[in-house]
Amino acid sequence: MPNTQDAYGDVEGVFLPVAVGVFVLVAGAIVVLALRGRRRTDPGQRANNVPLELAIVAVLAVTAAILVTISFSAEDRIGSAAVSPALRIRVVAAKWRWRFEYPAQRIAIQGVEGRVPTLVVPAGREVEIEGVSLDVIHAFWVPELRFQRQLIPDRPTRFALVFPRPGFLSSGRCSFFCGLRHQDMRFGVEVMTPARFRAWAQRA
Amino acid sequence: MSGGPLVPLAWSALLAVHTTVLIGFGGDELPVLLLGGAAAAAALFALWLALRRRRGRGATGELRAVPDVSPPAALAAVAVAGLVLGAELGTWLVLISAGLLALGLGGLVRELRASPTTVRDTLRRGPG
Amino acid sequence: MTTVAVPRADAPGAFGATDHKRVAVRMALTAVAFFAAGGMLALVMRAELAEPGLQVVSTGTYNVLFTMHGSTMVYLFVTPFALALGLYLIPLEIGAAETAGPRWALAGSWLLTLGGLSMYAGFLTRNGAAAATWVGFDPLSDAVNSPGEGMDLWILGVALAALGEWIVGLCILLTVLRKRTPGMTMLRIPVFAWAMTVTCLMVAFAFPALIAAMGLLWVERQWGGIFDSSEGPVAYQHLFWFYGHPVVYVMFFPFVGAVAECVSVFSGRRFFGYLAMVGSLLLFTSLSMSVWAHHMFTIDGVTVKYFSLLSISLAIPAGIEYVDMIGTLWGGAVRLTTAMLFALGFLVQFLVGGLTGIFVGSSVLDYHVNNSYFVVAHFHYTLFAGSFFGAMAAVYLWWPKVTGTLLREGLGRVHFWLSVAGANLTFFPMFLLGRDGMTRRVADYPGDQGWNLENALSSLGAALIAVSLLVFAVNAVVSLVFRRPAGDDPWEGHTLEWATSSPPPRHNFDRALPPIRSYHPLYDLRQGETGEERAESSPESELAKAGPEEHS
Repeated sequence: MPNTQDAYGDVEGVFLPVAVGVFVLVAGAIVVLALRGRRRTDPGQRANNVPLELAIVAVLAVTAAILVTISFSAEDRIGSAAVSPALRIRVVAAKWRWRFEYPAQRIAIQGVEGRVPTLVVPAGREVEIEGVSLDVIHAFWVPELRFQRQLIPDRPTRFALVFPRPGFLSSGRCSFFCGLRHQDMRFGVEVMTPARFRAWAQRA
Repeated sequence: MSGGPLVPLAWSALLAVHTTVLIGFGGDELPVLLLGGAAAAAALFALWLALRRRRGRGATGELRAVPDVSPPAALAAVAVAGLVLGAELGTWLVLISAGLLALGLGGLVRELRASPTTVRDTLRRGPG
Repeated sequence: MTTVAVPRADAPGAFGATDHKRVAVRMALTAVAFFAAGGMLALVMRAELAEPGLQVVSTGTYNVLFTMHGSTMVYLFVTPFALALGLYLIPLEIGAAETAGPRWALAGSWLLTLGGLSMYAGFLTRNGAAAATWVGFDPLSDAVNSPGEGMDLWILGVALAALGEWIVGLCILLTVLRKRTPGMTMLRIPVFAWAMTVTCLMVAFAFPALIAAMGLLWVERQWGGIFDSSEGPVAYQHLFWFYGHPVVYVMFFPFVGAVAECVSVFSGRRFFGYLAMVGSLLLFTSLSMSVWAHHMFTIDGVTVKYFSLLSISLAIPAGIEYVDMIGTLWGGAVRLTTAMLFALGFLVQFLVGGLTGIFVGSSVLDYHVNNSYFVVAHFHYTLFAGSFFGAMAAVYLWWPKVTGTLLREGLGRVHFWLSVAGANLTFFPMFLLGRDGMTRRVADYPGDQGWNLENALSSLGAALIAVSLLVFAVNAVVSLVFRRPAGDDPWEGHTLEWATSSPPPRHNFDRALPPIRSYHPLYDLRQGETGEERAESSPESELAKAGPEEHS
């Protein structure tokens, strides 16, 4: 099942330490060399070192290959349409509100003036989302899930998400500038246990 | 082949490699057109450079005597801006700019006629 | 006796001088004026974001602020300033008397200025200035969603500015490729000249995409029919970002070149790994033309893996360049002039930007942080803590050559350290904000998200940056009013611009040039004079010596 949180965590877990390590190494070298050089009066003359440069190119290429492989492997686990979704939701974005439609359950949740809508989903199940915009480009972003997609008019986009644990996520928002009230275009996510979700779907 | 044309040619070759890889990854038409187009344009530029050199024009030693001040060139630029902005701001601006452009181009023609086409470069190679 | 060209304060000269140095100085000063405007917009933005709640401006105004801030910095400040550096220095560094196409450069410089004024003229229209981001995304920027003349004036202004930049870029490119003095092969031009060459290759072959995008957007707004299919908005992004990625490298490479010159001159060493640097510059910029859709990872259907692979591959040429910089510092007799401080600051701070660039080069990571403050931090580290520091290094290095006078080192140090504090305080907290879910382009944020402290610190940092710039302004005025003559070569430079007067005469050199046998002719001259000619055999010096004695 496509766990976007885990995919992000797996990739960041490598990329971030590598970045920090490289920074400390390189920045440290620069600072140390600059400070040491102040006391020197007779500068060295060597203007190249081909074996060294080739060796470093090799190290860089290998590092880049590792990073790419890790990222590609995570990419393959997420981002595409669902395999066997437990639920299909249609997300409609329009200036500057959200509308969540549940075709099978015949439910529609829409944000209104002054009230942010709540997307309701079951925990631990594959949810397929089809998103579209009615006017300008918006983007559907759930920061806790580490995932967003541009929503474009007349161009539905499909992706699969898994919401790992029950609870309330307050951070859902539009992440593509869409005009005057872009910053107000938010939504909440209520992640219910599958049993509670079933009850909710029947009642609504 | 020496330096000048080789640079954009080498760069074009790199762009061509990137374009090929893009096609390999299943790139869409527009991206392939953009990148491939840039590769082709850079190659054409390299060709143009090579041809200009072979015909003996534009070698370093050659200088067209450019006047120290060229109001027509500046005027032509202002006129072009006016033409473009006139599309938004009104026909009056387009007409005025067209007139200014004619003036500017005319002035440039006069400048070009008045200047000799080859003036020996005053830089000489240093001793040693 | 050397003749010194003192710029005359005459009207025709200011308007129509063909001397590349005067055009370049006017371009640079215009760029700085726009920088002041764009900077003030940023200060208002940070004043608004210092605390949750709308205290300073309305949402609508804020949207104009960030649109015009980004537009100003990219189209009207950093790009023109970078090109102005090249226009001024390249003829000097390659021993040419003039730029190629002086009247073209003159015309291009005026198109730039008028384009910028057109963009700002939007403030005078009824609907106000453009508010659809510096990118002008369709359909947000179409006639329905951004009505009014302000948006049209922005579009046409961007097109004019880009056209002017394109023309100037071509002049610089043709100058390097065709007007080198005899003896100066392509493998003997300075590192800065190579940096400008590859910069102008990108200008030549990527900027037309922007002009096309603007032209098509303008047509779309008048008559429709361009971007109104379902693939239209995506097509716009492809066309725009095909320019939009290379431009950030246009705003980077000239300053890498300047930093390379600083590091070598102020280490007293020839630049290390010249051939590797040339190769990496060519590879780096060709890659830069090919990665644009990493700005579009969050669009369904983009060839994500290709653009991610090439984006992460950028680490390879970038790494080579850092190796060369470190190799130049190694064993150097380091002089920590203000120029060198800014150069070192560039190297350390750009590294943060570059490494976070590799971070967002992973599509999976970008799916989270795209359009968040993480990205804002990334590009401000590369462009401000990076390129702007590099630009300051360039200014402190070449100020004596352009003005004939010296900037004060004491004030320079204060400027430097305030800049370091300001830049890092402003932009580092943004990494945390973005990763935590704060999206960009918002006038306000909820007070209960835990973002208040970072935003407050960031705004404080912005104030520090402003103070640092005031210090520089004082330094500039002091140096021009209480002149300390710089002489031809105050730094013991390596390259030809230091072999003429400060400022140079009308046709750059009124004396014989030293012999050109390498990318460091003045260094060679100095070594020869002190009799310390070390017989070192290296691949590129052999290659350079063996090359034909003509210019190209």
